[in-house]
Amino acid sequence: MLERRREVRESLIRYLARSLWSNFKEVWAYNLGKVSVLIIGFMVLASIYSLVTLPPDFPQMWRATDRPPWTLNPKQGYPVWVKYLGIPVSETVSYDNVRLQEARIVVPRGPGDFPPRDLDRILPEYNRSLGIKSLVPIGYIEVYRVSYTLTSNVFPQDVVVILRAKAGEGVNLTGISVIPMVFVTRPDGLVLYTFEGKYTLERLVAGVEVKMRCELFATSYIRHYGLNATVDRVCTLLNRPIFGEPVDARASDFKPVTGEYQITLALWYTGADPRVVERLISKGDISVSTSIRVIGNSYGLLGTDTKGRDLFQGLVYGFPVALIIGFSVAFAIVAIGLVLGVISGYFGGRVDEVIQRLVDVIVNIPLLPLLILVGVAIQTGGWTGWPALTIIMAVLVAFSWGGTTIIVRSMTLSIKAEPYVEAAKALGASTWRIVFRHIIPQIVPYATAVLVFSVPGAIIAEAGLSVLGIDHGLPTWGRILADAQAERGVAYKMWWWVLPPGLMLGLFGFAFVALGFTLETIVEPRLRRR
Amino acid sequence: MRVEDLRVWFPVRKGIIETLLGRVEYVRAVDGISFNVEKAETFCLVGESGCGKTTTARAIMMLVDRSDVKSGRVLFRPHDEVLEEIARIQPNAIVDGEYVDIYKTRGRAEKLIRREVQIIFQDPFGSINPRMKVYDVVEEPLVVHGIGTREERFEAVARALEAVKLTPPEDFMARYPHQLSGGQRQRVAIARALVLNPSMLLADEPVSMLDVSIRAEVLEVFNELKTKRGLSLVFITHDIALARYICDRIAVMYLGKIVEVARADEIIEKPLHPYTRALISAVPDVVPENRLKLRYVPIKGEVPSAIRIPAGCRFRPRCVAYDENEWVRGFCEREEPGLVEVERDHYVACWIPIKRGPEGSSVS
Amino acid sequence: MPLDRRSLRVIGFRAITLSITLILVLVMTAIIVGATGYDRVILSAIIREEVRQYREQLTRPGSELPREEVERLVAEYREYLIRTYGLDKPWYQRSLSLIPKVIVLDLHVSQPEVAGVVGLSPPVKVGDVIAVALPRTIVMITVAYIISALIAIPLGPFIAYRRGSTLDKGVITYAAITNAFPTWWIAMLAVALAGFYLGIAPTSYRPIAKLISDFTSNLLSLDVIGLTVTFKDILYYSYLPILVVTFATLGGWLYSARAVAIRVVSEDYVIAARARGLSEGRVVRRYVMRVIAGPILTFVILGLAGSIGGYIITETVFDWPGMGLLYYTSIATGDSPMVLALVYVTTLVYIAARFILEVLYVILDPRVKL
Ligand SMILES: Nc1ncnc2c1ncn2[C@@H]1O[C@H](COP(=O)(O)OP(=O)(O)OP(=O)(O)O)[C@@H](O)[C@H]1O
Ligand SMILES: [Mg+2]
Repeated sequence: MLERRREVRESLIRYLARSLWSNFKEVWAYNLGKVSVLIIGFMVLASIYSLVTLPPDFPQMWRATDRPPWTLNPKQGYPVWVKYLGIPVSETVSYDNVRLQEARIVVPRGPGDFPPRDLDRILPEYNRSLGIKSLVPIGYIEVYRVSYTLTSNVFPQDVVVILRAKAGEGVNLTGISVIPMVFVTRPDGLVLYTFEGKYTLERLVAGVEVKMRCELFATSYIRHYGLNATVDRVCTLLNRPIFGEPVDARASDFKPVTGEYQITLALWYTGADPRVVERLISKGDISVSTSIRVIGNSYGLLGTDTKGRDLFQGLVYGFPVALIIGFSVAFAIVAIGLVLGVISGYFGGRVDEVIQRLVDVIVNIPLLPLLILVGVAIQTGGWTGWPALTIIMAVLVAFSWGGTTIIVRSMTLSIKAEPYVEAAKALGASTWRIVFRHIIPQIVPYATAVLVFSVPGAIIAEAGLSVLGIDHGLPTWGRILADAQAERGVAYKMWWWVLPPGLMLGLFGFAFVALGFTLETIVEPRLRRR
Repeated sequence: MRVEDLRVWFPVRKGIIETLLGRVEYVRAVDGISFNVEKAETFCLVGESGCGKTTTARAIMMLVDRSDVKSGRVLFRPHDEVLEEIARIQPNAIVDGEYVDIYKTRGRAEKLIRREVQIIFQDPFGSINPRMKVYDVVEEPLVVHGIGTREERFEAVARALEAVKLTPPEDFMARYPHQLSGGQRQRVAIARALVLNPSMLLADEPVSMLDVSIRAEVLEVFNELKTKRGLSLVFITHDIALARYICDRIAVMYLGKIVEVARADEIIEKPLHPYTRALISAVPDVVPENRLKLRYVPIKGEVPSAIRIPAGCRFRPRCVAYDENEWVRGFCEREEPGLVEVERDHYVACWIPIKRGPEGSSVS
Repeated sequence: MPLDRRSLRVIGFRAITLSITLILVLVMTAIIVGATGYDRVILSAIIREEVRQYREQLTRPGSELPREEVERLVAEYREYLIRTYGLDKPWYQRSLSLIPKVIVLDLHVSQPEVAGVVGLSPPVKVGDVIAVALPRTIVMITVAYIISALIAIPLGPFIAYRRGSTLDKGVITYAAITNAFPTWWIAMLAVALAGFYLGIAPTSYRPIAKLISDFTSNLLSLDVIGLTVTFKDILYYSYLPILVVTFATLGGWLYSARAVAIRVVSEDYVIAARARGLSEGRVVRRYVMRVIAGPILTFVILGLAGSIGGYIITETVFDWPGMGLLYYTSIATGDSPMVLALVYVTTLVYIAARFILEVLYVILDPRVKL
């Protein structure tokens, strides 16, 4: 007997799990339901993916457009896969922690050995390159080389070398400096001397980005090609003379030189005895890691915006935000509507009257202007990020519960008149018991459908506000579109910027409306088709 | 139990403006009825649809809005312990030292009364919450009144289900109402009413929504309950033949009033009120060939609206006896007849038997 | 149709509710701007403008006041204004003083870009700027709505008679898709495609402002040739926005027209008419369209009411110099008096339109209850 009893009265969790599962099966039975479940499942997976892969401070990162990683990406970069569509693009390739190729102490082997022959042995580019070399490296030298293949007739946007030094505990760095030198060896055999600078090791500890400079090689470049053009002319767009050759003597344009490029980085340690440096390095007391990045004009799965931000990451971050905003607003609306609706319907009287009048006012207020006002006000007040968004969401909730309240109230009125409610009263059940056992369980399925229906509203409102220029600072789909709108002249030609966030918004809206319809069909048998 | 001069008038909903102007009309669903039900007696309320039977039952169960109860009281004699307890917590509800005026009970006292009086509703499809399992439905009264441990409650539920012949009970406990037939549902409703062991049971047309085969099953359950448990039963039906089968006494209701009360066989064999006679002659004959004969049902016209009840005798516009007996018309038009004991234990509210005596009236 | 007392009461009741709503919105606005300190920005802008005017007045050629005297008077006046506007008081005392100014739109545009949206330059009152922008918005959306209605009303019954057909399914899908995507995003795509990729439409719609004023002046001077030229230009500048709004709204309207028509065509009298041998076309014209025109027209009015607020984002996308761009520019430039005025006007228009609709309801159907 007792065992049977346990079977009959299963635990709440098992009951919930089972009813969830059976609801899921019911939803799955409809085509529309299947589609919506698949889309929502995809969105949940995408959210998990974004939470796992993106750093927690991604929003701050997204706003800092003047800092890496965005500065290291192409601007307005195409998605990488467009090359399969036959669109010529140059790849962005990152060579992280490039392996040291050679290192040695270069010193003149006597008078007349200047520049030393040893230098030619480890860094032949030095003597072969075009460009004004103001320094002759003497001392401890490390050489790194990477090769990059330009396959299509499209200029890469830039080359960046990133240096970062690490020093062991208590190592005295004072005095030691590093002079990086960068050479580009082109497929046509031309070698360009593109960079030379000096950094103390202390500075390198913080990390340094080294960018190519045109003036170093421009004069010899002009001489080499016999151009009749100024340095300024040649150097208008730095990437062109490096990766291309002039089409005419006036250098009115350049055409890319395809093939394999070699980028050579030489690190020359000065300011201390080379042998001391060598010892420090071999003991691991100092180490400089080098990364070389060739910035093409394509990057990531969804390209980049005008500031080099990876639009795929932005889009992916939009998933959890959309789900959080959508669900919390919808949940709050439905919760308020449920509570007030049941109170209004079940208890009636003066409470009912007050709630009804309140609803009357609420449903007549246009939401968007108020949202705009609040948005502008909090923006002026210096709010950003989640706090700002929470305020916007709160306003959204505060003026949207009217409709749900009306529906729940009328449902409560009709359930209240059901004989089983009367039967419960006849048994002596308390008001609370009747409300929670007999009325709310009947409304919950409808409330769920309403909840599902109202999920997309909030995120679409948020997107609209963003496009109107209210910036809460979080990367959302709306925010990405708003950025595009702000730079419409360029952005509208970049379909990978405008298309995906809007598609996601639409997909999001569609999925929840479809699920809502399915749930409604399930809970309202009258709507069921045969 | 004693019901005294009970009146339940529902206001007719109109627009806000009419309400503001104070023009309110009422549906006089129950318009001054009195009766008493003895211990272990089965008392029947019979009448056509809309005459106020359900409203009477709901009023007894305190289910109508108290503002709609315009007069009267319902006195109930509970078990002695309950009586003592109520006398302690709410002495003002005690009448004559042995009755409780149920409309005066509040809170705990009300709950004690509710434990004693149970109701079975007309509609087995509506009166069970479709989202609750049979077990939860039948257990609910025990939970509400905080009776027993979980194990004891389980036993009680099983016994109640067995009592209504839902056997084996375990098979039914985990089912939802939609997995039951109409008769089974009604039996679940009966089990729910019985699980508390009430001393009084109101059954509002418990079989009217069921088809004939199931009807017999359920009625059998009632007959058994009557004999085994000795509880008082108010049985409401529009079927006078059924009433005769199950009841000790029958009260006939017309348009919110009781027009005739007597022992079951007496009222069937010697009906005094023209309306009762019409009811009886409307019963289809059991003998098949007699059914085909056109029978004369002595009544005319339609049921008047309960909002505009005719002046004088409320049955007058439909009364054939009124047409036939010219001498009584003056009374009928002027005044509503009260319920008068014309014979021993036979009460009737009609001017003809009242004025002429029972013998003369039954002739026409 | 004369209104009986009952209807008047209903209308009166509505008017009271909506007035309360408007007042509530204003009070809420005051609280929002006050509690967030935004009103400080607004009032500072107002004071700056008034001080500027005052100084102009003092230094007008002819007045011989010495410089220091001017400065003293200006400083005094500024102090006076700060006190009058309560910038020295806590916000709840101050921001309520803003309400009357907003109600009569006695505020000045503080940023030249905002006035520039409608081709004016400061000093100019917010009311004057809105007065130019509002009709432009209404015109664009009204035209689009009329086109949608003209398509949806006759087509609704036609689809209703072909329930379950490919056409029917197509309409439902179309409605579902346009419903899911924000209209302003569809507008973005349209501008990107037609404007930037294909080059068959403008990419910015600001010139429409000048075109419209040209058009009116041509109209006044009866310059027929000029008129046709400007009209063609106006057409060029307005076809895409109108097309987009029509495209975005048509789905929903077709769907509702279909839904209403399905109910009507299954009514007994319509079935009877068909059974009597009337052709589908005649039945539709005689019975069905008459019934569904009502709800659709209600839709038009209600839609227009909402559109004043609802399409501002779409307008922003088109750079259409109406209310939307006004919103966008004043938010972007921080023209706080304008933001406040826009919120107020949009709410007012919305509530007024709702009121008109309620009155129409009562007139058309006297049975409407409270
Ligand atoms: N809550 C209510 N509000 C208004 N009128 C009511 C209400 N309940 C019942 N009535 C009216 O009161 C009258 C009596 O109804 P009641 O349900 O008591 O009839 P009944 O005798 O049970 O009929 P039936 O045999 O059809 O069940 C009817 O005219 C009914 O319309
Ligand atoms: Mg009844």
